[in-house]
Amino acid sequence: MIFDVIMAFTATFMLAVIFNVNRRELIFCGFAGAAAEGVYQAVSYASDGIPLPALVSAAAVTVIARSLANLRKSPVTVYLVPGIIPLVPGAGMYNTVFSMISADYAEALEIGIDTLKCAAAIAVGIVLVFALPNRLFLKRRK
Amino acid sequence: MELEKLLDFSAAVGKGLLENGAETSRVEDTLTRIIRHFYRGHSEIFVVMTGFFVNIGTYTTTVRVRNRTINLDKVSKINMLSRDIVDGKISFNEAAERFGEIKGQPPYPLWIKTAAVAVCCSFFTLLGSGNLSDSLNSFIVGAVLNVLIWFMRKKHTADFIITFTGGAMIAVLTVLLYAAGLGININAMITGSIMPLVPGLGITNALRDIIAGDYLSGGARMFDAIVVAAALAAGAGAVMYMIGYMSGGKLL
Repeated sequence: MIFDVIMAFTATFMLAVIFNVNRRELIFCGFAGAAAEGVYQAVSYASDGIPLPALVSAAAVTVIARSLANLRKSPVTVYLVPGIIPLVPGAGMYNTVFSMISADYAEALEIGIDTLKCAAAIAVGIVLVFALPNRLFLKRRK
Repeated sequence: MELEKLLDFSAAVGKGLLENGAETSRVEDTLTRIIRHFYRGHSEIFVVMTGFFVNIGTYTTTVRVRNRTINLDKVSKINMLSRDIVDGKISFNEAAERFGEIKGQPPYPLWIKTAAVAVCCSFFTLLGSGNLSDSLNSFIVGAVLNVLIWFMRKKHTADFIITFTGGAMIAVLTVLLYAAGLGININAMITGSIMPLVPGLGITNALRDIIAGDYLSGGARMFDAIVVAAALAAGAGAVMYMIGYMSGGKLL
């Protein structure tokens, strides 16, 4: 699991480069991605089912992104966009379409619904944290 | 304060934000603040995903945004600029000058981005149960992928085509390298390599716009993200199916 978190850190760091994030913020984007993967694995170890880990880790990334945004005075998007990508069900998307093309509709439906559940859980996780007032998050001392 | 100048400046700032991947509510908010700071009279701004109208006093302009890329550093810097304007730290001329600098600032060079995409692909392959030779395969695929995307962007190809071709190219190259003896787990390699093309910004901005109550842009962005995701998966899936069919089910 520690190995996975380190890989998520590096992958997110590189994603931030792809999105042209400023040099000084790259490492923080990496932390957001590492936290996403770490929380996801910890929660999926403790519970079964797909939506819960995705929901909790998406919420965790959003909390981190909002705190970082306040501390470093950058838009939340800078940290949230790369940070959320390790959670996006890319494999699910591909496997859904692939089974659909191979006319394996039962499989496509099963994977497809799991993928949708995961995507919806990420969305709900982000929305929940965005609904909170800004004063709850870390702030730079004046 | 000359209204025409202010109108030109706010149109340029809005375009800069929208082109580089800012959410609609941010564009609207930034423009409103800048204009209110310099002009007390009536002003109105209406922003959607693909363009916006600005109205200051009796002057109105329409800006159409066609090429959208992702440059979060520019979004962040324009955001900072607007804060400084509202706090009264800089004058209009200074702001215009600083905006010019931000606009002309180059993105990361191609070779750095190519390396980033390559490393990103190979690490996502490792995360998705690939082994070292799988990740080496994805590394090469990622490097070629970025050059292909860069080339198509330069030719102003539509986003849908870029993603679809990207997905298809990932599948073709992965299988070619697999046939040459690099990598074992085709599924892990492909799902790892498509990760840099996944619409993360689309999803995030769609949600932010929907939360801000901007359903028109939020809905459009959500649809955009779904189309991109479908194009990506369809590109890779269609090629893999054809290869599987031609090889008589031996691959996969």
